Amino acid sequence: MSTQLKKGVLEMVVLSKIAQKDSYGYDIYQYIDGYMVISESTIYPILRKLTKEGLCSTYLRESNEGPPRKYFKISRLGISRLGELKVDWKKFENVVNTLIRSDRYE
Amino acid sequence: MNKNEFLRQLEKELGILDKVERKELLDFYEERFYNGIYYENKTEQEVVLELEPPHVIARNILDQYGIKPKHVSRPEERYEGVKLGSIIWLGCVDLFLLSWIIPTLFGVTVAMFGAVLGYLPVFTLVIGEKSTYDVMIFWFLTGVFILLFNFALVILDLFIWTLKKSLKFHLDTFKVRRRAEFNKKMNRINVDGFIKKRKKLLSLKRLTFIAALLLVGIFGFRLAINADNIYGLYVNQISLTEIETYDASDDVLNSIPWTVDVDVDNMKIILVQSETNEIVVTREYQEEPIDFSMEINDVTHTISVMQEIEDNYWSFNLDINLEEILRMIKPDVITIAIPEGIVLQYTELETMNGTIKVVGMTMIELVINNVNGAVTVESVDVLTNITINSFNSNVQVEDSTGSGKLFVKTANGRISIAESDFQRYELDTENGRIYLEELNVENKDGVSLDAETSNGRIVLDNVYVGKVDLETSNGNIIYNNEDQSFDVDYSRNTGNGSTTGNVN
Repeated sequence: MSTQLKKGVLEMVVLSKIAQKDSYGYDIYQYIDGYMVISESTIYPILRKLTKEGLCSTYLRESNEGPPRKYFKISRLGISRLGELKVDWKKFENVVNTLIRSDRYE
Repeated sequence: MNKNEFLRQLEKELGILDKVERKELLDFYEERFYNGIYYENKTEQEVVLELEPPHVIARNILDQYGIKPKHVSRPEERYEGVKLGSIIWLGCVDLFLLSWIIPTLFGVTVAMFGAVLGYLPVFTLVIGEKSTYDVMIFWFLTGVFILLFNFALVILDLFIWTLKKSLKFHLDTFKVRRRAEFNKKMNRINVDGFIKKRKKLLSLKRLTFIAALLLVGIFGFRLAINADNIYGLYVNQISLTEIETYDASDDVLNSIPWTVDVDVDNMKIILVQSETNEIVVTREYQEEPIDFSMEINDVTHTISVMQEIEDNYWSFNLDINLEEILRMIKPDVITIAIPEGIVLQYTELETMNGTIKVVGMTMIELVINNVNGAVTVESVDVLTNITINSFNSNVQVEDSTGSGKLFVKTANGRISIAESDFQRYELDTENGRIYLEELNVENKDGVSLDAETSNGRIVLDNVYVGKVDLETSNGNIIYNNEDQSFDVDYSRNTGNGSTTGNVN
């Protein structure tokens, strides 16, 4: 998949992953990487940005196996932003599909 | 690469970002390492291999900030402010280091090119009437000046380099905008690079350099083998004379001792017997030297010839011109003639470059110091010691006596002693042979003799000294005595060489 395409949706994808379940950085990366190959280094700045914009919050969760990890939890603002993004994506998807289809059948 | 190295490098690559931001991003990677190590039981190296290299990570991250990698290449473009500490440090460097380094280098550079200009008078050698030697000297000096010019270019580059570095240091300290760009442009300025970029110029430079080496080599060699002729030729050209005399008849009658003290830069010194009852000091010269004095003092009974020697070799007085070079070929000559009846007290002769010759003298003690030029002592009788300290000289002592020690030390030169009689001998050279002949033959009363050389043979012929110690690293040792009944406590040591002779 094109890097450029991925880039545009990555924010939404990350946010939706957090919305499903509180997760830590590497976990989020591995999850997304399972579906579409991405560079680990693109995830972290996005997480930072989301936190900064208040779309999610962080907390440390202790573990018996090792040092505590920083978990990301979606905020109310994040939930509503995710809703908006999903609506946008649907619209976008339709538009793009239409464009591609017309292209094909012309 | 381990975890710390990885994080440090990443931090460096992210230098453009502000501290808090950088810290947060690095935290992710730190956690990432913990995750690998504690939760997945991997080593630091394994985690590093899983990750992209720091510069790629940095590029990806910065890309998300809309920063193009080309802006990130220089770490100094950080958004941090100017630090007081670094300004103070800069001030100290300016005050204590640059304040003298830059003017000094500038002076040296100018002096070097000034010296190169000294080439112009060399042309006078081949204008108009010229001898073969003129032409030889001309080509030799041409070679020398080409080499000098090459050296001057190196010095110029050094000066430019220092200027650039100090300018960059200032710009960095004050975090001047766009300094990276400026530094880049500045870095292109240097002579060597300028020449290297132009193929023709480079080949010209190389060609002249090789030619210069050849010229110096070939004509240097030809000049060296004709040195005597050239010497004669140029000596006869210019010769001024200055004479001081003093009628010492009374002193001879009353046997009043005199003192001789000569300390000059580049002059030949001759000390001989006068044919009359006059003390005669003669100087043959080409040009009046600076800070020079020549005096016969009849109150203190002292003959002194003095020259203030510039001992600061680093002041780069490189005003080389033909006269200076000729003076090296043909130094001034100081001749001091002493009436036969006068006994000299402590006598010290000192010159930097020049031969020293002492003939037919009676004195209490003789000390000779020079660097270049042969030392000859002939028919000199001293009451105590003769001490000769030299560097690149052959030393010859002949027909002389003393009741003390004959001490000779030279680094590159031969030592030969003949027909003399001293109680003790201490002879030392680095690269040179030692020849000893007919010593203490009459009285056979020599007490001890130490002779040492690193490279050279040692030859003793009829040396009647009670205790002899010879040492050479490379060379043969030969010791023969006509009178074999004379008992010698003889020890010798040679690294590479044989020991022969009838003395054992």
